[in-house]
Amino acid sequence: MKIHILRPAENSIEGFERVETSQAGFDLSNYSNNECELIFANNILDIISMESLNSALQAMVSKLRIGGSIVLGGTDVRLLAKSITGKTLGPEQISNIFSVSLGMYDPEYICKLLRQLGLTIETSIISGGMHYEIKATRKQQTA
Amino acid sequence: MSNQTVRIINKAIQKRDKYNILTFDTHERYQSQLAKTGHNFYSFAAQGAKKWNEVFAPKPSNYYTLPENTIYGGLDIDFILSQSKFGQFQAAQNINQVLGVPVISLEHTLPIPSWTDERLEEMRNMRGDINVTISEYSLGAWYPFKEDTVIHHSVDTELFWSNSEVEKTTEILSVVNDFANRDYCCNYEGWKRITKDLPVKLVGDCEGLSKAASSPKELVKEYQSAKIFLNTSTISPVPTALIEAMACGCAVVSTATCMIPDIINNEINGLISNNEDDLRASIIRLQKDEGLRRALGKHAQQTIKLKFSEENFLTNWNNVFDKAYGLKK
Repeated sequence: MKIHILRPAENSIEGFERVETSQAGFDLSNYSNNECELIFANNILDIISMESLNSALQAMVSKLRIGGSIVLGGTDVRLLAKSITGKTLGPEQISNIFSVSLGMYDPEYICKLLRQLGLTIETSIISGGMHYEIKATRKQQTA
Repeated sequence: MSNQTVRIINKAIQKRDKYNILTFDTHERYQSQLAKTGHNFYSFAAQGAKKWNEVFAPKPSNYYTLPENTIYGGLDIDFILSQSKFGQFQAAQNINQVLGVPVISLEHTLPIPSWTDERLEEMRNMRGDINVTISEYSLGAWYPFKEDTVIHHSVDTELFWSNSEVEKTTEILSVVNDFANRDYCCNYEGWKRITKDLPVKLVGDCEGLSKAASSPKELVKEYQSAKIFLNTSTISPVPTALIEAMACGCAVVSTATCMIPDIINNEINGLISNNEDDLRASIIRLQKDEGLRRALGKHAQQTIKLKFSEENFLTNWNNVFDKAYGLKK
């Protein structure tokens, strides 16, 4: 089973389970733990607040089966800060970004949280502009 | 052996249990068979391009359609499978400017006879990192001097099978989509002449002429209830309907074009000719001779199980996929 967690206005991948997220969060209670092959959530981190981040990541990771992967993405706060101080973004663009965001993170911080949840980071890339994507996998634990 | 050679070999034999393959909606039943490899297939949905039609086959559970004109880098695509030089190959090249992965170029069709030499050369130059054709005949027509991979079709013989309990009709069955508009390759005019005043049944999506079966199961019933199946194609490497009809035990009468003479041994597992009068005579002969019909149908089933087995098809495709993965940087 594969899940696509996305914003309400976005089109999902046909064949994936569609789970919408909003500022109120998302609900994965319909899915059993340890059964998901892939959770694809490449554009949701900006609408998850700092307070909810840990529980949101835990909820997603709990659904992954061994060998299952998660793809998470959002705006890289370091690159955004550089763009603001370097004045490559105008006031309107900055305002637009902040008006829809509840949180904005350093990818290293997200990687650290995922590692703490037992995942192995496969890749962490800037996928275009200021957007980053992290792929992490739940590996078999060795004694 | 140099380290570089060892590295290349090691890379070449790397495999994954499941590859992420970007492809395009093309032939539903062919792709349903392909999906039995178990890999993840992601279909790129270009605006205005063909969409999967569930009437032809239900979408497999490991076949996913991306939102229109969308590619997600995070899906970790291993390679692209283009199934046509008529638009898909060009799209694959464009997408690959972003993904940078190997391209497998599969071609289902044959070069069009009316093409100029320049046009043929232009089409021939559309080559992927790995190139696959569906028959030796197709390879000869596209690339007579190359040693590309040939992978024959497979037929799902659990779906397409002979059911003696289904009541047989006297109508001569032909299954062709868009028959009238594709006279140049499906030979609709020839079909009309061959079957003049004979009882016929046409199945296939063709406005004003015939309707497609409502589901694969309905199509199977059409084959199972037909005593005689007629194929009149002139330019089709391996007509899918012909091999499905053979799998269902129909006595087939067919033109002897492209790869068909390699599949049908005349008088053994079907009756073939390129003479319209002979084809008509074969139909009339079969209408009268139940023993011959049964014998041809039985041998036809055996041919399909032997030459178009799912096992060979899946093994051959998995070999191609492993090779493509080995080319991934």
